[in-house]
Amino acid sequence: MLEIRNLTKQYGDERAIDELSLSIDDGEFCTILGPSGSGKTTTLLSIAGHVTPTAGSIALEGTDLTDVPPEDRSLGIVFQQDALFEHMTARENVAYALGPHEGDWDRETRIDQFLSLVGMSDYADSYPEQLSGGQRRRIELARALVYEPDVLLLDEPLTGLDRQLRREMRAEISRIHEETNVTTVYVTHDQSEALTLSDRIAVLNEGACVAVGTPEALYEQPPNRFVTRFLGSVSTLPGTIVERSPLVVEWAGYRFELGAVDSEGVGDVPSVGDRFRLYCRPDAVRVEPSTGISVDGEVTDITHSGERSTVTIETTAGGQLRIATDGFPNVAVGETVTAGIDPDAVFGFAGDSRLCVSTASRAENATDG
Amino acid sequence: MAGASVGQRRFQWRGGGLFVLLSVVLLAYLLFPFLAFLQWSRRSSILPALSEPAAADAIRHSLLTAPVATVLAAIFGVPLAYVLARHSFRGKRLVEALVVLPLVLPPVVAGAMLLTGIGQFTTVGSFFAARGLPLTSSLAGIVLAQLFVAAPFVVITARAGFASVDRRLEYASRSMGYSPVRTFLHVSVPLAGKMVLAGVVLTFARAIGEFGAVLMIANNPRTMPTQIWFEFQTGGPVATVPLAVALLAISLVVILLTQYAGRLSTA
Repeated sequence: MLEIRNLTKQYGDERAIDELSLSIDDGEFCTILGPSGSGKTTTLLSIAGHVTPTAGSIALEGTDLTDVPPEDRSLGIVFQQDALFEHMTARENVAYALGPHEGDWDRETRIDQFLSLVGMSDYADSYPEQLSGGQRRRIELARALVYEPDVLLLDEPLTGLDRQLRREMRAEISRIHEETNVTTVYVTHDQSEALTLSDRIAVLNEGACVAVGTPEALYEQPPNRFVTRFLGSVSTLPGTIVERSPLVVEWAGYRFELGAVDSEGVGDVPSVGDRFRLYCRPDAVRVEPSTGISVDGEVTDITHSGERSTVTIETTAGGQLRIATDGFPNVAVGETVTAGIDPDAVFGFAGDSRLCVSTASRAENATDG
Repeated sequence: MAGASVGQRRFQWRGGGLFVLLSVVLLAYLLFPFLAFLQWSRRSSILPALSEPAAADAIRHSLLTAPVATVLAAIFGVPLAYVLARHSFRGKRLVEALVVLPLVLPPVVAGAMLLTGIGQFTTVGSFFAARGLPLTSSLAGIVLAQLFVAAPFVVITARAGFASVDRRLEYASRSMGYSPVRTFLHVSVPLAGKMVLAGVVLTFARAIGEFGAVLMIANNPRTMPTQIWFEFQTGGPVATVPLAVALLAISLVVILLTQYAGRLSTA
């Protein structure tokens, strides 16, 4: 198990990592996800020992690594963009990595085995400059894995590859992880990479870890506003508080009951008449009236990605609603449509706690606010 | 490579003619003295002149001292270049200024400064002289003078070379289990190799050609440049021709050899 405790890195006045704690199980694929400047790469370099933390500790299988130099940590690392040794062939790159390591293996056989693992047996004698972006990334993977590191660290390894290649390499990384079962820490700012690849995701914001969980849990039950916005797309529904305890919010003529608000840890205690944002994911909305919540609106935008499309409507109740559809939708920009929202998928936040809608019903008497 | 083909494209852009013209003027000016000088060389017999004991000694002394000064500069200068490229520390600017200083000093001043530091009657100088290693009027002194004026070249050039090596390559090597020193030798030096080599060549060229500082430290034994000065004083420009041609030939061979070696190592 890789255990990061209260990791802090200070550069002058700036805190790149702020008391970050994270435990990663053996064989787990854990992604550190965050926007640029959130401290992801600094965290990775700290794990590898290339950055000395200001405070906190990193332990592997119970052994404190904090003062262990990088060469004694048994970690494999793949960097954003190329870090192949240009003066060595693909095979020499892998051989170099195996160099200082001893094991009950035949060196040449083992190098062949890992070149074949990444599908690069035919390019063993090519120099990096003769290889394509994807091929170079494969060699980097082989190089980082050949000496059986305890942990594989990947720092945005798909940066700089085109879309098609990214998809291909994503599948490759997944397959290689399954075959080697090496504990993997994957750093990215790309939420779809994180959602696809990970067993668990740690979301970083401004150097602090703001959420840890499975892709499914974080996507469907995001614990805070930041994760809600950063992971996947979301619609914001501008509601108004009509009752404080239990909290009831009204939007588009519906009353959303959100249960009791624990006043502990709530920064601003909401009061009646305050604005209150409700959220729902595009996949919880359909372009058709439903038994749930029906709202009218005008289609303002449609984006297609082939198998899926996103329709954006400007609701008459206020707020933009994003709707995911399978294939191409039957609506056009400018058209007025009725959308149906699954009420169970609507949620909101009071301070740091996430509130789910328990019941949603038509408001009998519209309040004046 | 797309970049190379763009760089080597013939001058097709407007204004290209002006660039060619300006380049040709400088090249002509650089070439002219060589041609004039080689005119003279036809009138003197080079090989017999070089076999004169004084000339032969000067060649021998230069071929002994300049390589030693170059190797010393590389041994101490390449690590310094690496430290300057990779680390920031208090007083770094001062160190950087110190490295450049010998380049801007007139060689005579450099020589004078060296004499006040290691001259015969100084603490350091007398210490070594008492142990049979005089630092003035000796080959050791010549090496020291050459080292002083030539070492900055390898430091400055190699530093730029190391700065151009992506840090992540060194990180990768460390994580693979290589110590900092092994990473430096296996990754940093080969990747910065061309620049390091260029720095070494410049250092050698300066060391073998150094006159002022060497003359201040050692009027005897003579190196090729100091012997050339002696010949000039007694016989005028014509008398300098044999040794000057030899010096040119040696420098040219070294430059061509290192260029060839550089190409081999990156092939």
